[in-house]
Amino acid sequence: MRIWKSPLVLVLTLAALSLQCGKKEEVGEAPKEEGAAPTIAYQPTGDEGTITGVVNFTGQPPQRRRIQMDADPVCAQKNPNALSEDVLVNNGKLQNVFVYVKSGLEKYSFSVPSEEQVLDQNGCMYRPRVLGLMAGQNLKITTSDPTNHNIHPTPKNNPEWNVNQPPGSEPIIRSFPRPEVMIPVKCNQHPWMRSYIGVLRHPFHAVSREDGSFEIRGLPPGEYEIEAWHERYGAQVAKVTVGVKETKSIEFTYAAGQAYRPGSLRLMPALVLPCCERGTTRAVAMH
Amino acid sequence: MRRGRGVYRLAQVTAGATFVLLVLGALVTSNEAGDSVPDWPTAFGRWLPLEQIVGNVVYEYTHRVVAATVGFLTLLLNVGLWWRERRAWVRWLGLVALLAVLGQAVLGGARVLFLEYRFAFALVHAFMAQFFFGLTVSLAVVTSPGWLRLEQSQAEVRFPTSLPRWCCAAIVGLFVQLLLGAGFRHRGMGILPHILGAVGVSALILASVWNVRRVVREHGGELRVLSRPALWIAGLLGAQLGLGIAAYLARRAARFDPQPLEPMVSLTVAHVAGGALLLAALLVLTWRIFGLSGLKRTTPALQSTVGKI
Repeated sequence: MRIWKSPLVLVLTLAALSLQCGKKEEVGEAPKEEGAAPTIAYQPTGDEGTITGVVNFTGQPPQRRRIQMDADPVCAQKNPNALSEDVLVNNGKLQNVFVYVKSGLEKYSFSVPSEEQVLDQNGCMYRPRVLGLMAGQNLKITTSDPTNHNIHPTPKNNPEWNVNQPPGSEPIIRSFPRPEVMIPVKCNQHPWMRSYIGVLRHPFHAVSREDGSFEIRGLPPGEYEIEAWHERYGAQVAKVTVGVKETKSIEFTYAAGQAYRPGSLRLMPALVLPCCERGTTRAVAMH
Repeated sequence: MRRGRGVYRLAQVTAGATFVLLVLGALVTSNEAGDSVPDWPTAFGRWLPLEQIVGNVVYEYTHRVVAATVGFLTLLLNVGLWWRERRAWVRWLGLVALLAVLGQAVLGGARVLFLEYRFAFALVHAFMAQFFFGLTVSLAVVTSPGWLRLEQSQAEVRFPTSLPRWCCAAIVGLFVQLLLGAGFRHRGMGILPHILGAVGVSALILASVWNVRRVVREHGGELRVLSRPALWIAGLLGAQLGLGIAAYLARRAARFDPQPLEPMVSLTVAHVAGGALLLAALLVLTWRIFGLSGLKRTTPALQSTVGKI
């Protein structure tokens, strides 16, 4: 039976190897710079600086696709002309890029803000599409739609949950205990609904606005690695030094041709999220 | 003879309903509807949440209702088997099917409730679905009038000893391939294992068909009880390979779609259904080979009757 055993053994081995490859990307507690135990509870001194910047987009952006909401008449009625929101480019500026301090804050710890971040479901879309939180900070999920939704984050380092939210129901308050960039959130009842949450151990993050601009305030003076993450175009990194009360400006530039390949279509590895994909992080010069 | 045609019909209906259930399961996965109902066994805390069956809930809820129907049919089939069937091994096969469908229901529930192990449960659930379908097809084969005639006939067919082995290897290979396909569909692994699996299992299936063809030729081309399923298998294999390639290309083309859309959904579902049909055809062939082999062991040579089966 050597003949039939060989391909089966080969295939099973490759499958096991494939799962193993995926495992490497699924494990790991927090982002690399979070590994060291924080030592100083940071208290603002008045010397804090600011990082401002813009996210550029070169080339022809992909055309926005019409979302077919016919499966739920309530959605189709409330949002009849819904278009895809994964790539929003206005005058060469890219919206919904999550920009955050990736490293440089290891020696500090920061208190969790008491205010909640709100994720609303409106017109069967998540508002906002990209948002940032501190680990332990409350996320308030509201619904403005007269239809049912389920909220289903699929994190890798945090507990996964899936809750139903009927129309008119009370907001759902949840938090993520561990840092993780990024956590995809979806509604399985309306599969076009997607949101991404960046969970950090500090409050220094921003999401690029319609004009591509972003601003991170209140940074202690120091050297930082700033990462920009986009759901389709992956991550870029810039290094920046912020002096006392200084405002530094940086730019990120994404190109139309650099879209990542979804993990499910790869040959060997298990599911790879764009945030975790090797090779998509690129260094960016400071301007 | 305590066997009735009713049991055979019931086995056929159960196998047919299971096939529909498999297609619905593929629709659930392809439409990303697996978690659209966050609770189990109830849906949104109720058994019949009519006003909430919209969007992707339609797929998930229908899947659950048809699953319950298949479970009930399997129970009925067991009652029929234990009442009318005199062959103990067939009764036990029915019981295994009943246990499998109950286990499958629990696995489906675990897939919904234990999100941390979503991929593992989804994979086992997908495998068990095909395994259970194989059991219902097997029950339909062994309770069929054709099988009973085979048992009663005084026929002997000389097979090369490798033939049943090739067929069993093809079935095992196909199960592995179905598992690898489920792994890719549920986004737990890449496509390469599934592609290599397709090469391996195609070789096994073609070897089985080629061996059957040789046996049929040796018997003057009249062993239609084997040649027909072998022809089906060859045709289904070709269709299945084509569907697989088309489904993958459609998935690639749809990778930036805002939601699961056609033709990706239909091609993927057709590919899953094709795999199930291929499994069914292989099982029919293998059972018939075992049936004829059994006759060889127990009856004297009556070569001439075999060609007329």
